[in-house]
Formats: sequence, C-alpha cells, structure tokens
Amino acid sequence: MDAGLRRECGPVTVLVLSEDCDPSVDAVVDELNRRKVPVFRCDTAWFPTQLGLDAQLRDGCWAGSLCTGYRGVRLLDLRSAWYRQPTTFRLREGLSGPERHHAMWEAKLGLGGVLCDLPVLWVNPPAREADAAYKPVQLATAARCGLTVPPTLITNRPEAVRRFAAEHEGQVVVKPLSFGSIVEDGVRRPIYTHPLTAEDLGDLHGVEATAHLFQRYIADKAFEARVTVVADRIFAAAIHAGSPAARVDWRSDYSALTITVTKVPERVATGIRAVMAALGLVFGAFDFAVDAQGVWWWLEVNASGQYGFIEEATGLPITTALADVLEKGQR
Amino acid sequence: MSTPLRNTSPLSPVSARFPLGRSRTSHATSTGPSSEPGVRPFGLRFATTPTAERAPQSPAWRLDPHRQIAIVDDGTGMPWYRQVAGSGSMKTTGPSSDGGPSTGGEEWTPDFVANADQ
Repeated sequence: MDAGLRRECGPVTVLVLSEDCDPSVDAVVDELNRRKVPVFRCDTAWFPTQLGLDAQLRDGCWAGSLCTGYRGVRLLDLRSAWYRQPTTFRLREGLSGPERHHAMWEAKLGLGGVLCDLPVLWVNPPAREADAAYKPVQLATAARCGLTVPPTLITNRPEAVRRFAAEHEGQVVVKPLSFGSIVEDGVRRPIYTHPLTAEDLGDLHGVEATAHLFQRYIADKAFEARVTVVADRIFAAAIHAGSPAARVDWRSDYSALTITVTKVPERVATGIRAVMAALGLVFGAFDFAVDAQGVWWWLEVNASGQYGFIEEATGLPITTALADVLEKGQR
Repeated sequence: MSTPLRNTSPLSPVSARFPLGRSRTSHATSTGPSSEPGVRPFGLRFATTPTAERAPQSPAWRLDPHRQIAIVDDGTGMPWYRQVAGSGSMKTTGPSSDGGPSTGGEEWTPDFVANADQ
C-alpha cells in the first residue's frame, strides 16, 4: 500500500516511545520500515529540548503535531503507540530545584496527558502498565484467573514470616516487590530471589523496615518458562538452568541457561489471556516455574519485560508479532 | 473518538499514569552507602556484590534519524541490533554505564513510587 492510499484509509503512523539505544525497538522499527509503515520514534527524554508538541483541542480530540529536528507527525495520523520504557524528561540546564520540579510535572501532565488521550492502540496503555507493576495485584489477579500461584506472604512483621516459614517447612524465598537492584556507592547491586536459610530465619531484623514479599519456594523445578504475549499470540520458552544460582533465579547466571521453545498447557494459556484482559495489557512477559509434576506455578508478569534474548535463542517471531499489532492499530 | 477514562483505580494516581524511567545509558542519580545493620530492610541483605564481569563490548552506535534506528558508527550503515545479535547483548536493551553488571534487562525503573529522579 503506498503512502497516499494509506492516508485515505485513515491514521497510519506508529508512535514509538523508547530510549535511543534499544536493539529490540530497532528490530521492530526496521521491520515497520521494511513494510513501509510510517513510524515516528522519539524518547520522552527529548522533551522539551528536542521534541516539540503543538496540540489544540478540537471537537473533543487533541489535534496538532509532534516534531523533532528531522520529522514531524500529525497527532490525528497516529494509529498505534508503543510505550517501550521511555525515559524521564531532560530539562534545560540552569533551572532551580523548585523550577525543575514544576517543569517536570508540567511536562508529564501536558505531554503525557495529550498522548494518553489519543485514540490509538497502546502497547501498553501507560496507566495499565503502572497498575501492573503492583505484584500483589498481579498475584491476586492471576489466582482469580485460574492460574496456580505459590502461597505468598506480604508483611513487615517478623512473627508472620516465622509462621509462614513453619507452614512451608522453611522452603521460603524472599524477593523484591519493586526493582531488581539497588544502586549503592555508585554501583548497581542486583537483588535476586533468595531462599531463606535457618540463619536468615533466626535473625529477621529489618523485616519491620518496609513491606517484604515471601513466597513458598518451588524447589522441585523442572524448568522455568518465559511466556511472551503479544495481543492474542503466545510465545513460550523453557529456560533450563545449568547452575545452582540459575536454578533459584535464572537472571543471576545467563551463561548457564539453555532456552528452547515449549508449549503452554491450554488451561494455563486460558489463564494468561484472562490476566492480560484483567490488567488491560497488550504485551506481557510472564514467568512461570514448572515443577516435576508438570504444574505451572505463576510467578509474575512484567508489562515491560525483555524478549530479545528469548527471540535470539529460539527464533520465536516476537518482533514480527509486535510489528503486526502496531501496524494494525485499532482505528 | 477516544473511549471514556476507564480507570478509577487508586493504584496508579496522577504520578504514575505516564511512568517514565531513568535512562539506562545515564548514570544513576540516586545512590548512597548502605545503612547500619538493624536499620537496613531485610530484603536488601541479599543484594549481591557484582563480580568483575561486564556486559560484552558492543560497537559504537549512532541514531540514524531517517531510519530511526541505531546504526554501527563505522560508515557502513549496518543496523546496530544486527551487529550485536548473538553477542549476548540482547539480554539487556542497552549498555550499562553505571558500573554494574547486567541484571537481566528488567531494569526499567519507572517513577511509580516517587519522582525521585525528577
């Protein structure tokens, strides 16, 4: 379809919001270029110095444009938007702290508000992505959707941890509710899933400092699964761990992993689709632990999860699926 | 015409509705030493100390403003993502310059909790 015909068919352009350096995004944009689908790619960090917004409310819709030094796009020409880990606004130098705070909020509510109201297909809708970050909501949603969820405790009370550990014969892990690392003394320190030892349980100081997530450890794991969902398409990969560290948390030792294509049981696939619908997601990266009896234990969904390493290892066509969804849009 | 605002959930208030992360290619702005034992949250006891291992060296890149992808900065125009494919770089979406190793590429740290980076 040529560009003229596309314009007659309605909005055609795909908006990509992402950091500059993201090979997974590059692959999708390259595929859209190959299909001659118009793309407008930018990072929110470009706003306001390298990205211009001119939006005027007309008949209940935001009309106007976005522009960079190289290209522009009419807001009404947008068909879909990929919200792929965009980064925070980069303001001009010289602002005071209060001015900076003010300008950040103005940017978020102004640019963010206009974009969020556009009648496009979002992958994913930003607010849904924000909701999906709450693991307690994920866990309860997954259980309600028929998936098998490990017994889980969220608490700041040491006595609750001791009770929970006793209920599960000490087979308990602690994992972060939010970010998988902390930066201390200028160094990023990963926080992987940690199986509690008797020594840990003997000294639970610090539990009271904040909320903690404890979960029954799936000790008899046959393998883990990373299930990447793009709209109604499910791409499942088995992750076989070849080291003790990777058996607990596969992120801790990539070099010890063997990744192969696998199949999701139909009951699990039904649950995954129900979770996607309940959380309002179009894209999701689900993690499961599959035990020796073949039970798929749901661990979490990352609405902005990585998939490049899965595609690279298995050849699963996730890039193509994303390009399909973004090209199709919804209007 | 857009659909009516769907979400009235208290989970994602105004600050979270358009969550933005710190750039992976910029240095962390929130850093500091560990607190004293007894003060530090229990879960942070298990933050690991990075080894000397670093992500594989990737070729220099620049953004091609016409194709809107990163290309290898050697005059060939080769897409950067194809050049790094197979090198393990697809674990993450970009090189880490904040001194730490790859932690699995799930390191988008949006401002759900607070606008600390702002």
